[in-house]
Amino acid sequence: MMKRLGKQPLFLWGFGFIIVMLAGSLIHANFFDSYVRHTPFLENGQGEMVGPPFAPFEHSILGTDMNGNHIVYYILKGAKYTILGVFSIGALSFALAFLIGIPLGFKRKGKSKIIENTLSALYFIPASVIAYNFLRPLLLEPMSGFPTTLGFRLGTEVLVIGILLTPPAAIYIANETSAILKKEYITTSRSLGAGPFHLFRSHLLPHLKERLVTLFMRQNVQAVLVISHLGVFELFFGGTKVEFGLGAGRPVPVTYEWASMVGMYFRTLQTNVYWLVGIPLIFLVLFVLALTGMSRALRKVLAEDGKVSKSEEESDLQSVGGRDDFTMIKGTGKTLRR
Amino acid sequence: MAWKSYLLHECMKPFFLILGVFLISISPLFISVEGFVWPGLEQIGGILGQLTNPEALVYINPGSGEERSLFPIIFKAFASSLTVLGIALVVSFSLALLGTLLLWRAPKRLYQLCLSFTSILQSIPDIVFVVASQMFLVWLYVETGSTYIKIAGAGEEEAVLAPALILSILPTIYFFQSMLSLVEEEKEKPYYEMAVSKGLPKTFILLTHILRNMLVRLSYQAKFLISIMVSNLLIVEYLFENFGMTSFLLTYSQPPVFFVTALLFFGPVYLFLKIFELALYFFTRQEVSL
Repeated sequence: MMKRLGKQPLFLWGFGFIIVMLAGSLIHANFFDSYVRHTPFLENGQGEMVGPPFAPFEHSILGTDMNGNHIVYYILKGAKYTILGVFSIGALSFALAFLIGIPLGFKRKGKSKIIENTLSALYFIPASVIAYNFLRPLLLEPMSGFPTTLGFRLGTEVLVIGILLTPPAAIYIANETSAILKKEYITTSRSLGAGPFHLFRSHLLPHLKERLVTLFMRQNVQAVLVISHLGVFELFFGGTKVEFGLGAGRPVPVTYEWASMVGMYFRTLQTNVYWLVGIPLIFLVLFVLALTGMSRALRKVLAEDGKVSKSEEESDLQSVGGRDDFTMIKGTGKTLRR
Repeated sequence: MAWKSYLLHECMKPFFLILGVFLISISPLFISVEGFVWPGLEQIGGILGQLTNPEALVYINPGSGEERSLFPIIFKAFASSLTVLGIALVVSFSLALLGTLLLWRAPKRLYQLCLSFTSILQSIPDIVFVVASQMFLVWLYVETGSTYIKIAGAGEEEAVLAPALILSILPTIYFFQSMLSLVEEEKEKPYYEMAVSKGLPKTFILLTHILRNMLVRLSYQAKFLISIMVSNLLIVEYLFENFGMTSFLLTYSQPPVFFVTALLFFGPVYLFLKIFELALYFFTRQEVSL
């Protein structure tokens, strides 16, 4: 399977981008101590001084910001936090969803309606708003500096966002599980004496495998979404340094993760450097596209592997589950066609 | 008596929803700058006490510490948010419908290309669209020196059209993608073949049969589409600095204010979905849980 995965160009591009960014970032952190190059001014040919910002390719490959800091170093610095943070949020919420969703799918009798209805408030209030209100006291630096360590803040943020992203995914898994468990061969297998574990291992998992891969990638994309919303709301992943007093500048991120750079540079949009905010944005898009591409390639390989029929294939990453988040499957079996 | 238990169930739902919203609005009490804390029951009780007297609720500006009463200014924010949301909904729906009609007789390859292109676009975070279109507007201003469209404003002069148009980008993509794939699925069905073999013009089949069936199936996704739009609306309002519901959900979000705002905003959305559900039931006799 790995061999065939290696032949998928989409997978290679996506995987390559993530690995290169991650490796570059780690090397930058370990061997160069996250050094950010700084050009306060330059001399042009006529002996005049020109100040930053410099456009991309003019002096530095991705340009500099208003203070002359080279963007490419910030991008490298932030890559590890972005990529590892997103993956840990995705993995946490996926693991929780799996652990909750499978048992929920097995005993789906309508007893869990109370919890389900209470949780459906999550549906009307976007996850990023809840995360913002919950994490703001922790992540905004008070006047006396952070009393918490960076690791604690990162861990809490991963935990909170991971839990917030869990319910839709858990309900998705539960719906899929109970839909499969309604099939005839399951009844046959049950009457032959199969226990839940056997059903899970030999009937459920082979069918769910493809969807689970998609779901995992979808959780990662959702994590990017929430982090990027928080970044725009100036609540940066890992903490926001706030300056106090007169002449205080804009809030500055601690980790320079890509979404926080979007938030940091957004206010420069209405100055002469409107392209500045676009650079971290491009990297965010590339990251999401890498995730989507990997997911597509994985699904393709898995579909070739298994005997899952064509009609059961999903059309795309987002359109898969998002649509039936919190859709409750009616006990009578009058389900909707997805 | 299935309908009785159904009715009971439907009446209970909003209460749990309100409970959920309440839990979310008090959640910030459980965290402080040093980590997780237990606020104590008195504090939660205090918030409940404040909520029994909504007339006296105030919101506090975190910058200046000034207190102002929440009502009736919240209705102004409410109106601003709903205007932007409404325009965006109408624009995106009509654009997607127009696109689908135009693509109806397009070659298969072009159709497939559009389908896969939109499904790639779907996974891109919404801030990318918002920020990129703002960049485009600024670039337009820098290049041509004229503002075709207002990109920021304050008070009475709030920008409405630009946020609404930008907000409609992502829903358009979603609508378009679902419509295209649903139309394609409808084409596979026997009634389409039957109609073609009877010699009915294809445009006629599209307008009278396929479109109707497609719209019914599209409405199953109403909840999902609305939730996408709401979360995108918050970003748009924040970045345009409009005085909408976002101000109360993010900037002035003390727990009671958050609770009232959330109910005021998401209540109508919930009602809208419920009415939609009932209408669907009456027209198509299909039970949907939106």
